[in-house]
Amino acid sequence: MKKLLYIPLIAAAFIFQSCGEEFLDSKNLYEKLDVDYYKTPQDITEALTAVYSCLATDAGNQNMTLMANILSDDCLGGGGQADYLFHDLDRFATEAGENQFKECWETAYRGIFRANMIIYRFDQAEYKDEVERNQALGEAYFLRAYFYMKLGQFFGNVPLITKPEPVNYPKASADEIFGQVASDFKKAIELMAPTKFQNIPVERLGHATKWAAQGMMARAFLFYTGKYNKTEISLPEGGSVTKDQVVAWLDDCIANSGHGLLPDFRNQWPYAYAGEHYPYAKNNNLQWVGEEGGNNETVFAVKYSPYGNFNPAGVLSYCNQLVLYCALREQPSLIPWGNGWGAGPVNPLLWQSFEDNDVRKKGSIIDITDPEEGDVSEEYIWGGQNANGVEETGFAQKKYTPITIPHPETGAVVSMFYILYGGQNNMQLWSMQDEILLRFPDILLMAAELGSANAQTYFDRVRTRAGLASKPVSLDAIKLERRHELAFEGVRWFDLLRWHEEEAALTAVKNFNVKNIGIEEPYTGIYRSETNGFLPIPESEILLSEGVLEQNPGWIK
Amino acid sequence: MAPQLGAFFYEKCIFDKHISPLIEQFLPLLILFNAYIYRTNSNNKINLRPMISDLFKQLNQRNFIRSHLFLILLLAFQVAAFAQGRMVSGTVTDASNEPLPGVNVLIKGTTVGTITDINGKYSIGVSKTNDILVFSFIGYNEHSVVVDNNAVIDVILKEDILQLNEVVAIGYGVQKKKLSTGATLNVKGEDIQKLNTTRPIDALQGLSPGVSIQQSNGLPGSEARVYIRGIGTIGHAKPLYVIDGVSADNIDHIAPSEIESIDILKDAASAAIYGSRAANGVILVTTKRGSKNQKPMISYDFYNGWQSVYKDPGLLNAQQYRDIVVEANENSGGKPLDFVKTVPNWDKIESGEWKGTNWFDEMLTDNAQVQNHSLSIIGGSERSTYSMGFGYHDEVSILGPQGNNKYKRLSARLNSEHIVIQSDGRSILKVGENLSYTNTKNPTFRTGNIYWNDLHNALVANPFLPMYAEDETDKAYPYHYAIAWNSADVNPIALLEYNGKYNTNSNNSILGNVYAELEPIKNLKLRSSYGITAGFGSSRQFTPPYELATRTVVAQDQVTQRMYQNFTWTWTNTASYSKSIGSHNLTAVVGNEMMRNSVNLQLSGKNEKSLFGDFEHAYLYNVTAIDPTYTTLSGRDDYGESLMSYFGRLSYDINETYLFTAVLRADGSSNFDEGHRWGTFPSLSAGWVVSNESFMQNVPFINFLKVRASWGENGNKNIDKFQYLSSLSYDVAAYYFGPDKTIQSNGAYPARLPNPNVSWETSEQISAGFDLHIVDSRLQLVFDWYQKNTRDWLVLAPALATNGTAAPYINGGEVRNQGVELALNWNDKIGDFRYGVNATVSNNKNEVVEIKNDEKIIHGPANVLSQGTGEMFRAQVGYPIGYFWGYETDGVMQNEAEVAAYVTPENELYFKDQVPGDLRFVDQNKDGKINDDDKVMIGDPNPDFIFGLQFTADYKGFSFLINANGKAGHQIAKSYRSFADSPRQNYTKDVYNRWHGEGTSDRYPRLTFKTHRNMTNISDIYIEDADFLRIGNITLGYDFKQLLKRLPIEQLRLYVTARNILTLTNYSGMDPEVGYGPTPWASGIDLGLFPSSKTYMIGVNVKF
Repeated sequence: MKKLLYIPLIAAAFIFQSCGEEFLDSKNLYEKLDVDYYKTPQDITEALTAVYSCLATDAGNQNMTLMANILSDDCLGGGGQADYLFHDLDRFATEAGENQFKECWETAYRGIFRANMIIYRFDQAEYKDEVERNQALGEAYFLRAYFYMKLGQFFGNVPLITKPEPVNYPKASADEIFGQVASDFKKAIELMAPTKFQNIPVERLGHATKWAAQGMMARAFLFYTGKYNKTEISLPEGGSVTKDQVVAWLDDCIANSGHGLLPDFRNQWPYAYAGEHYPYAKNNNLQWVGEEGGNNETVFAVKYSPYGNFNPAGVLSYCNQLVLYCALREQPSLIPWGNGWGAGPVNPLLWQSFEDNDVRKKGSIIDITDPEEGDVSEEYIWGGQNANGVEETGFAQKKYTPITIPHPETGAVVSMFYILYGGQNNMQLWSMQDEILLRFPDILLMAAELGSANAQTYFDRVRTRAGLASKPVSLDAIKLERRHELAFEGVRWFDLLRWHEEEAALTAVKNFNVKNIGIEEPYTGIYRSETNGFLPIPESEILLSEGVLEQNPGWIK
Repeated sequence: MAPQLGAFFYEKCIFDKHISPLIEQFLPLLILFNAYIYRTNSNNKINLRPMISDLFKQLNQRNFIRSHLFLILLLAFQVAAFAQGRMVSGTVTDASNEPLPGVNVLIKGTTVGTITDINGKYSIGVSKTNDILVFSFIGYNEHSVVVDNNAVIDVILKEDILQLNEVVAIGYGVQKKKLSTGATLNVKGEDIQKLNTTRPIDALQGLSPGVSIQQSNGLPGSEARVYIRGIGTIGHAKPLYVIDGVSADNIDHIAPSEIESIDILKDAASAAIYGSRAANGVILVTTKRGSKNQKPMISYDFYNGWQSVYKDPGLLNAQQYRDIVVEANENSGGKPLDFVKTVPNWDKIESGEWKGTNWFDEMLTDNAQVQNHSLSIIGGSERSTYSMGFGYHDEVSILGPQGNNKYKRLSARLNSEHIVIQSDGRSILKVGENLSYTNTKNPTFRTGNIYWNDLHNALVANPFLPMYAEDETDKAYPYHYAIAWNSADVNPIALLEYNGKYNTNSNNSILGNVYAELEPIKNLKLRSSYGITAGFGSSRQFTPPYELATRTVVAQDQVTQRMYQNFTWTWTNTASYSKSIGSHNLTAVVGNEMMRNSVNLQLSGKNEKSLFGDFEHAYLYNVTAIDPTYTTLSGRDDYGESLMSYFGRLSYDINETYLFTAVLRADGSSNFDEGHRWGTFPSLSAGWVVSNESFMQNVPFINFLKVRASWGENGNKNIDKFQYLSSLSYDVAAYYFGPDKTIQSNGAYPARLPNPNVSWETSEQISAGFDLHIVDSRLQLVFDWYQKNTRDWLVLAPALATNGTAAPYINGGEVRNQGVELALNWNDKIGDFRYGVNATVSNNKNEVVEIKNDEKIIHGPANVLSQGTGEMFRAQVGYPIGYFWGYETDGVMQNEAEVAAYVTPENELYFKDQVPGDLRFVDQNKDGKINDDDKVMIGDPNPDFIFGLQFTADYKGFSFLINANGKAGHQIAKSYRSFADSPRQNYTKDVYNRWHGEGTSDRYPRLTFKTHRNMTNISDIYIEDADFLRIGNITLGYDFKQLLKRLPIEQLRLYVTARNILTLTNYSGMDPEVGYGPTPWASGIDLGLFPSSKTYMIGVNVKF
């Protein structure tokens, strides 16, 4: 029995080597800790970059410009048979599920969260240069305002979250949302320096500027006051943004920003680059102005790159999918028009609404029967090679469509951007055209519409550039001018909403045939006025909010 | 000891802070090792007992140096003499008078022993008349005889039919099977080996009630899906595998011939000793080891097999396909299809001269060979035992790129154990090791979703597309380019070849441990074991430039190289003690374990434009131009995972009749935040051997009856790391400021909402059952019932998108698995004819009990069966995990009258465009709309029943085996083509079941060329019952030793085997065993899954 005494002794000596808690500590080698971050200008730059990256969506079919085009009377749904999202947008339906617009919702809130983090932690950032500091903070306000404006335009009332915390808020009123938007844009305008476009280093292309903030402020103001029948925006911190103030900002932008109109409307679109390979460009001696700083007409744009890819998830957003989705659907090589998914075929009535001498008519729309449009007039395959395309009208937009031409070295037909910047030789990944969110003519027309003293001058500048004669400025004239100048740029739908003309516009889209997988069928536009023109909030959000969020009118099950 | 110690030095933490206690711990071993050396060299017998006793005294005083010196002195002087007396000899035979070679004969209480020779004869020297000879042999009852004055003792050993004295592995120890109180299952290596499966786990199919073993796909080298007692989580639901005490991801790399036995711990009480890793059950593998005084036995096994596909998918040929697409096009009102313009050589198809390309046949390798060699040597001397094994497996995959479609596995194993110090027939110190090395090479074949599946590609490619280019001399592009008929349709063989042929990989794994076991006083065993699992490997790929369709272009050749390395060590120390006092028997184990995954290195590089442009030279060294748009490099080494544990088990019984076991394990894991790291996992179990009771002695037909019950809790710690931290991510947050689109600015954002409280998943299980042996123990019956609740699932529960960043893992779900298991075993012998039947059946019901969000759902993805189809499976409260979610259909509208009758409660047509041939979707809520609210459970991929049946028979050297297994009560969602969006994909002959006129079908709708709700709506027409019974193995063998008795070998068995030759099922697809699902918790989705093959093989087993 004495030996039994050894048992605990031996057990203790042999077994219990204690190594303490530090054995269980581990380090994250690939991520920085949030508590140590948002302290240096470099941190803020990186954090801002991550907000900018939310301007692009991974799911190309939820590109906001594309969605707004299809919602409007400029484009039909199109795409392939199974591209329900386009058809649903076109018909105000949710056939393909109640979560189908989740990605654009989610991307916007992702941007808002990241901007909130910057704004919330900005005090701890240490800057030496006050101008740089104000610019960075101004950009954060600008981006947050932009995302809330887009949410307000697409979904109506949405939860308004201004702190980086997980909260479950009910929908805010339009007054609250646009009050916050105006407040943020105002801060952005006031914080950012009035540096002329030409004096901003080209390395900063893509960053928001004071001028972009002034333009976006006008857009928000017009939308809110129009849609909700208001005269001014009340700010949450008190005071308000008035029409006069907005006009003053626009006048300032027009006078001092250095932005202006290019001499030829068409030279800002990539087809101008196709030159000798494209009869229309050749005949009109078009010269693409490029995206490397020479285009002072672009006030704010989403920047893309050759680094889009299918893996890892999310990186498709690095290339311009608006272009891929809007391109002619699955055609053989039709120089200069590259292939894509055929979303948003152009309403033939829009084509007819242009005056023939308006350079923007052929400058914005491909008529597939026109020999000047290249191979397309002879070799176009209705429905695409997969015989799967629907709602084809024979018209496609040419502002955002891939330009493919023979490679100067190999002769292979590839994207012009692939020739310029390399990247992947893959038609799904090679589009990297800037997606312009604000163009100078828009600023001119908004100023005219808001009643600037220079209204007639501004209006005529836009018309003259299009090759048209002056005419007296009026709201109706501005409406038509906006439609023609800004077609396919994601602006039209929100113009219709604020003018309360969406129902009339959509129900007028009729009395023509489209081809569904090559079969001719009549088309009639559909609008459901009970939706007020807003999309449904993703159903999963309604469920996850445990009833705090309510579905939008017209979409309640 | 040196290597063992040395290995620790890799870990600085240990070295710095823990080396001195370590030396303290190992010093005694070093001392005893010295003693051993001394004794071996001098051939002396020494009595170690007083020495040990003194050693401990010294240990107590913590004066190691002194004790060491003291011992060496002691050893130098002490010599023990050993007396030998007269000789006893005899013959050992079995009941049928056949001599038994290899029987252990031992003088009780000593280490003096011998073994019988090939004729069953032995002779042994005894010293006293009251010496007792103990005869023992595996599979036979032990027999003891008092020597008395006999010179000849012949013995007949009886077979141990009950095998109750057999010991089974239970985790950190072994236990007599009859004393087990949990639900465990023991399968012997020989039963696994004789089924000749590539993966050892497959041999358990049908033999293991309650264990679902399902191939993920039939590609050799792919991992099987194993669930014990139902799927317990939507996260990591794999069981824990432990090979000779070292945990591993799976056991697929072990050659079946190297396995001694597999033990499956199914209930929580049995598994609780593995704590935080045991929530999904534990599978223990013991590899072969030699036994004492066993002459070297050499076994060589070889088989060669020929595999073919079990069932052809039945693709349409060009003419059949033409007829079907014409019909579909007409149904959609399309203008006539222009074949002449879009299909090359249309006249040859029109005339029937050319039947088109059958892409499945083109992908198939006929008579794909499988070859297996295994060689093993097992033996032992009085003090050392060893086992060495070498295996080589070479299997051609039935589908794959010609020339590079082999799975190869080369394995080597060495297990040995040495008694270093022995005294009075008792080993004082044992050391040993188990070491295995495996090298595998996997074939290249994509088996995934509809965009990542080579077989699916072959099933959907249209038969109009010729295989080769018209001008086959074109070396650059010998394969045919996509044709205008369907420009998206890429030559699947070309794609497979370009992406899979120029590829090689080599994967190495080393797994093993070294251990020492000290038994300073009888029945107190102190064991220390250091185990490693290490993996390293590399792969290399060359993709030639190719152009197969407008969208399938690789302009420049590509070279990819990858390599990885990982290393995990486990240090386990246990002390066990057993003691019997009267009728009270007690066994206790306490232990400590540290595990650390310390290296997880991965490097990869990809570049384009190689200098040589061929596979042979496809190394990154030969591709030098760096261009950020096509050069990718990545390298990372995850900061490892640590686990620290303390555990104990107490087993107590009275008279081997009343049995109790209690287990407690505490685990600390680095996956969680401080304060949430430690978990405690208790269990209790009890058993009552009713048949030992006196009142049962009058019930002669019951030979053995034990009832068991257990309760326990286990954990699951497997989640992504650092979920408790709020950290910044640089993933997918770049932007492109400035004039140059190739200049990237990196962005950072908070990666997730942290959840510092994230902690274990816990599975709590109660289990009860009985073991019954009747009819002279010829019939053995094992029954179990269980209820397993896995709660606090580690889930990425959907959170509000307005949060703006990813949701963290939360402990937020619970599933209940409940079921019964029954195993029946009948063994009998009629003269020389011996036969056995083994039947198992188990039932499991899986139901999600809780998901912690308002929706109570975790959604599956969309676009699974086809682009353009919605979510089709989900985990939802009240339903089984991964159930199929969709519309119920009510047949096909046969005529206009039925079309007019398919109306809403308001008497309106459900669809304005409904026509005969369309499906009637059931409006479950009668709201006049067919929408998501009408979707219901239309199928469940989790089987209700798993069953197996095996019959074996032996007669005078002949042996026969037939084995069948099956599953029932589950469904498969099948779609071999994308019905929703791809009208020009090929069909299988299933299409002939479509509706094409009144009365032709009441299940499948008319065909359409346009996308139609008939097919885009996921409904029960995609779902099929998948009950099946598969004849897994039929083997007939003969041992030629029976004929040629003089052969100097023990066994020369030749056999023929047919594997998977018959599957009884109503399922229409290629294979009813469908493990694929797009998420780890989904299964039963058949998009054209690599089918298992039918194999005929011949083989030989030779033993010397």
